[in-house]
Amino acid sequence: MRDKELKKRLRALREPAPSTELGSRLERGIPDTLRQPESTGRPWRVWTMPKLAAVAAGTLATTITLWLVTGFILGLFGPPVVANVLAPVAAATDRIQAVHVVLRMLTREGEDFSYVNLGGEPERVEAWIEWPQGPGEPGRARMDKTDRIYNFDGTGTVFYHPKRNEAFQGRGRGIDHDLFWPAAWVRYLRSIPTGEVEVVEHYENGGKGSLVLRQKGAPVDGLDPSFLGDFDREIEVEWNTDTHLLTGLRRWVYHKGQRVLFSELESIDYLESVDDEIFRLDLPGDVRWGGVKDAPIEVLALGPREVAIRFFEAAKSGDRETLELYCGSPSMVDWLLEEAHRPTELLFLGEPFRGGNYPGVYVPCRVRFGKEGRVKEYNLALRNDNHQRRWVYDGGI
Amino acid sequence: MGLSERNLVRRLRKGDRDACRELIRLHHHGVYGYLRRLGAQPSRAEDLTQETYAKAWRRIETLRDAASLRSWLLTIARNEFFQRLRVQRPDAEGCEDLPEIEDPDPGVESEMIDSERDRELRRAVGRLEPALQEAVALHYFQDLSYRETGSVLGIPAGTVKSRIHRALGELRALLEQTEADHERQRAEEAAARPS
Repeated sequence: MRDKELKKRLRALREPAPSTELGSRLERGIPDTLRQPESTGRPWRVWTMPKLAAVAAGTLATTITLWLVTGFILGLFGPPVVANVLAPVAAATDRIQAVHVVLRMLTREGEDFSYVNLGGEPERVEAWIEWPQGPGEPGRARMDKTDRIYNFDGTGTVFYHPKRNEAFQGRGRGIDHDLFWPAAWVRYLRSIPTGEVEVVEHYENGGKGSLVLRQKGAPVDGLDPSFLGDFDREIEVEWNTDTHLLTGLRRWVYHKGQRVLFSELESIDYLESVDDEIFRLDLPGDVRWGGVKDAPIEVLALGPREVAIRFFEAAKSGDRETLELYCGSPSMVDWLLEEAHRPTELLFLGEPFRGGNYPGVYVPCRVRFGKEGRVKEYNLALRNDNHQRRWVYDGGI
Repeated sequence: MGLSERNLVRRLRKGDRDACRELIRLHHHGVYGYLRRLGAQPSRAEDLTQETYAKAWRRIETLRDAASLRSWLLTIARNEFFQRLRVQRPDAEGCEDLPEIEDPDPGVESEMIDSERDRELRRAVGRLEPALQEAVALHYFQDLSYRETGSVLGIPAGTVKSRIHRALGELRALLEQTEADHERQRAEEAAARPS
């Protein structure tokens, strides 16, 4: 066969087509305002060449001066400060095999480890992690927080909520072990681009090293900051200058001008391995298993708004089976079906939007609840990082 | 970029929502098809198409450097696909290869109503090594130039050209082999038929 014919045949092959709704789903995802990269100010034609040259020269001179001044102040002309200072700490902590850490964190029940519970009391969080010992090895991890236990025994994950006597099972690791892995903390700090972090203090004496950094939070588009990444924050790292192992970590968030301690490393033990017993979870015989159920095909294509509507409709009509399709927590379903909390009317449903570091979307809604007809406004949190990639309720009520 | 594409880029960069709709209309089939070709199942490919456009809206400013709108979108789609692959397979760090699929995607075939000849060609493309397969998919199925294909794959246009050249050679050999097998089968059937 000649090349020409083969090329013609290849060009004529059709690729598979998506569902007919995909186009409209994509259109619904167009944000109200797109980030505009360029100023749309005065058109170029009114600029004469001499004027352009003068402005360009002026701008260049100002930029160079500012760059030099800022650079010398921040020490930007050597290798990046944070990466440099923490290089031996990163190397030492990277050699660790297992760790047991205890932290005190400003988190709260029902939220994940990065939620900042402003005004609350610090909670104890304990973690044991065994890092993978070689390629293909999964490692093991367990984290205990007041209201939940996360356990990955090397084969599967279990989240257990003792108060609700509810458990969720998964095949993979479930959560990122980096959250409690000292080498990952150091790696992260070293990876922050120089322009996004400010070195507040650095010293090494008496066998101890310390580095204090300031970092900007991600914009949350009108929402109150809730997760660590949403806040402007300050991080203090301490290490032993002989072993170079990390010995301390404190993180503060800035809220309304106040510096609030978010988390503090209470203790850290570097280990060879973790006792098998730690990763053995004995759950009560009557534990209720939750999770995202397999849904029929027509449910998979639903966008967040449609899911929110069906979620409220099912709760309103007391349809437990449908409600369980959109809400993986049996205890949440029970709560929603109680007369006092049951939605009676969906008054408003806005456009889904993303905010901060939350991996899902928020759907603004106004709902009438219970016998007294109380009206409340929520940002219903929905996420689709489940095995079916479909939207399900994650919180907000 | 052609004149109409430049105009669309200009409108996109100004935040024109109609231009966004046009970008979806023009290219979402291509993005979806490419993701299917990379090995994503239908629902995953649709999700990734959504993610691709969501990221595109946030990255309008990177459009300036793109070889074309289509290659820009396909680059984002490719990154999203491999990123997801890495997230799913945390132990397979640095895995940059396409998923190993003998017949690249039986699902792709089942969705199409092809002639026998097209099916054979599609099957033959699926037997190419992943790097060649992807070059063929971008250059022929997505109609990208060598330069645009290179910008999606992050390789020089010359490398694309040589991959395409190799792919065509291997495809020709595979198709000739299939044809020879058919011939032999026909001959055996004719010999077995009572005269």
